[in-house]
Amino acid sequence: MNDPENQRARVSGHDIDLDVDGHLRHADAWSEALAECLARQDGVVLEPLHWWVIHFVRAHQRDYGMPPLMRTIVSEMRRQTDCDDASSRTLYRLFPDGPVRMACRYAGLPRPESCI
Amino acid sequence: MTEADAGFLALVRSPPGSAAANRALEAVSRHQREGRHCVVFFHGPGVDQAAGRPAGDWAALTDRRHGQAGGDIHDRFNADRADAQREKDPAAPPRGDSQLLVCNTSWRRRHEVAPLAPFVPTSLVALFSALDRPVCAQGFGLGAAPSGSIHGSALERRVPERQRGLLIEVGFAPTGRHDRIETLELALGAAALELDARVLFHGPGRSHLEGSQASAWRQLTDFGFIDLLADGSAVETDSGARVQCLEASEVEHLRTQAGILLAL
Repeated sequence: MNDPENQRARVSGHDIDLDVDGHLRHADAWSEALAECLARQDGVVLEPLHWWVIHFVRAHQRDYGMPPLMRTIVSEMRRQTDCDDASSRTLYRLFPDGPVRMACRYAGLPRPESCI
Repeated sequence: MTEADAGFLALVRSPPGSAAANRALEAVSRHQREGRHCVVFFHGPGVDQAAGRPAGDWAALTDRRHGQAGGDIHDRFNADRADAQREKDPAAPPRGDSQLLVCNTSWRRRHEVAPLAPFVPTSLVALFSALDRPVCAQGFGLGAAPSGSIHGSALERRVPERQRGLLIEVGFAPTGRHDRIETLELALGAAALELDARVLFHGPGRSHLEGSQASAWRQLTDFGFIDLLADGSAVETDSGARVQCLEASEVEHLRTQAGILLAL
């Protein structure tokens, strides 16, 4: 039986602990392989734009202590990438179940607390 | 649109039992008696109003209209006027009643089970959406009164139209463990919805820009979303955010020019 309190992801032969929401319990256990593993479980294949978002979210958390607003991701995606239709719709196409929350999960960050 | 047609929005951030909380209940009750549609948004420590004994006092407001048949002539006049207004405009919000909205994020930080009806858990989007309508907005929070305020920790301002700019005033030092983030979240909510907003820190509120967690405010200026302002001389900030300091006369001008002023 699955215990939601003790979820795990298996990456390169190692079990990685996840919290009840499927987010990494210990941030230093993050790797790109883990991100791919979590995305694969959701049926998402990570492409270059996914990776840009994931690394942007990690950098924002490091610099500001919290994940970015979706508005921030969109405006910086327009500025920093060659994506010519950067928008919230594009983000939802990349991360259908909620861009910021899913990106945080793949980026090894806690589930965002805020409703915004 | 006359002043009587405007609704009333109360942002309640004060905990149960505080003077500001009592004033909030009185104000909403008064506006409701005058036939206004009231939206009460509980945020931060204010969400505890939706639990225990205070919840009953607030809940009583939501069904007061049903008891108006026996009310005084003023109540009946307003109820009749509201009915006539709805006949003219069926899409108009119901008059003379109250919606009790609870910030879901603030609530979850303090409670494990959802608030009971008539309290409705929702997001900050609901607060800012309510500001889209013509309303008198009033904050019942933790901060000291801006000069000129007649309501202690609150300041009332009628908002006849959109796009006149939102001024969020932070006049209190963070106390509880959630104060810092919940104050910031209000500003982030305005930024997320691309509102024309500014944040003014005054008095003890300037300490939100100090300490290790202050860097989170910097995202608002780094990405050009919201101007951060402070009264008085240069701010000793750990945030790294660009904070513009204002003279007293400039602060008063800012308040006068704001379309919506929310004193947290």
